[in-house]
Amino acid sequence: MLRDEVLELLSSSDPTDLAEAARAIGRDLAHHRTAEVDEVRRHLEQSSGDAFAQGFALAVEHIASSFAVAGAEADELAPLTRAIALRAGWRKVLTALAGGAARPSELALATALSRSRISHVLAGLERAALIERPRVEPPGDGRERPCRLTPLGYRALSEGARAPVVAGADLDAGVVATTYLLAKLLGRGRASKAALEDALAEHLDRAAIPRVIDTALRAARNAGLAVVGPDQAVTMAELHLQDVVADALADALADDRPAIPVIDLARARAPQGGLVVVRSELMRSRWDIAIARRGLDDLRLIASADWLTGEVDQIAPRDRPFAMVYDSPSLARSERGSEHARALLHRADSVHCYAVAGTVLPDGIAAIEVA
Amino acid sequence: MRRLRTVGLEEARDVVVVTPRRGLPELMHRALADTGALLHGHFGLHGGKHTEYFIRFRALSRSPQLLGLVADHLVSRIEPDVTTVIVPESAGFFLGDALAQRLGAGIAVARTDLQRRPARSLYNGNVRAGDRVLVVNDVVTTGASLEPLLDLAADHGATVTGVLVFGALDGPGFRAILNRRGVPGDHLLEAGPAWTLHPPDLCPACGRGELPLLPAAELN
Repeated sequence: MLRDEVLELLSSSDPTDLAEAARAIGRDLAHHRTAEVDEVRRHLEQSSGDAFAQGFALAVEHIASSFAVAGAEADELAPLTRAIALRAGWRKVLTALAGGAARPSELALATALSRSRISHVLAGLERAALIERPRVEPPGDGRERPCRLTPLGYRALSEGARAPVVAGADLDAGVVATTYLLAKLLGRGRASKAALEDALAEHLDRAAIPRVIDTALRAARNAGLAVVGPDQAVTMAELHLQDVVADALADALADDRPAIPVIDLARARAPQGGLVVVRSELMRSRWDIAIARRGLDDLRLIASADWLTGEVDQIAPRDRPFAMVYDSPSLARSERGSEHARALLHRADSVHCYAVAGTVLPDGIAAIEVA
Repeated sequence: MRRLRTVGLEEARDVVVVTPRRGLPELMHRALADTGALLHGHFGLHGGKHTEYFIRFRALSRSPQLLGLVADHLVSRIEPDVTTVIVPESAGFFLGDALAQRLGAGIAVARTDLQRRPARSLYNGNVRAGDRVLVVNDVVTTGASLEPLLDLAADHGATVTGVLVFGALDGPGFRAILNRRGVPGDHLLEAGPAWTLHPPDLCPACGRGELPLLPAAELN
């Protein structure tokens, strides 16, 4: 599918179109066309105020950059691991160093190589930055300076013991995994890990699948898009959160249910003698009604309309301390640029946000984990 | 240009008509001005019309005294034999709750749809067969949006004995709908001479193009 077609699908608000776009990114564009994926990501970031689209863009960026870094590292390591595999002397000396030997005399004993061969090998390893030989004070016999592995040396040695990595294929597979996951979440709000494994089996060696899935899930989770439940199902985070909050608010309206856990979690954050100010666009009538219904004098609600009408100082009076609670990470993120919100946040004793476990929130906002 | 401004006392007298005309108007005009509940801007109403004023009942209902005053005046205008008050999940709840307390009635909350219009479905509370129902909302244009609530009561085998709203902008339209449905009802305020409802193609604010259109329902 052409990039323009994908961009057009992404402009639609129909979930089926969005899912089709996500599939196209994973299936076609990711195939050695990372520049096109980048363009889609920029388009999503610039053109859409929709939280999920922004998260989608962020997730694609996360996955593409983590695999690009992994690829670059693997490219850098590849000649070294090949050299170690080819040179028995290097391999023996590195293994002895990893085993605790340090001085040339100890290495000679451990490897059964001659002293002159050892010093030749050490010079080569030092040039390749696989080992380092710190100077000793006071300066003694140069030939007896102790050696140790550098971090790169450790990496090269351990990588050499494993199967070789095909970096380029990983990037594509990673983007495929992320976009498949997002397409499923867009379409149904849920995806199973097993289905994700099956989808990747077309693109990837079995052994690499768990690592790619982990990276894809981490990207989606860091972007605040998905949550992995105890049943290993992946659920769209914001939807999941909305369900939890909506259920709790429905309970708060019912006369026969004493527990209003979501509201009490927020109230527990209130400063002594102060208020909890909930910033909510979701179900805001319901919040307002629940607060009035239960006679909760320490809870207030601010909706966008209150910024417009300037009633915020009546809702959160300047003479009372308060904790502010966002109803969702998407609102907390989207409001970072708002002057109104900044003025209020500045007055807040603390700022919190309802979130599912593992969601990454902007600096200064503490999660109230509800799932 | 500011998208919204609150309307002061002098202007409120021209914008809003209060019934009955003795005693109450001054109180209500002051209440609207003091709480900042009467807004000037460019608003889109549910029925599709545009207007330059809007009453934000939530602002007024933050004061228990004013809410009580409004409820006392409204409750005197109906037969008090009510078992259940139906309100939509909106700012109308606050008025409904105050009325239910005065009537010793239960309260049932109807869902609102994505455009925040009342829907023919209950969100909370019960309506039973034989219940005598009062339908309440804060501000309506003609009250056409309340018809799903009348139907909802009928769905449960209950009888609607009254409809009370704080404001009915189009007073004659409101009375016409009540007559057609055969239900008694009343309201305290309607749009005055300075408050016109325009079809979108004749809206002067649209013509000037200065103020963005705000969906009125988003403000409550």
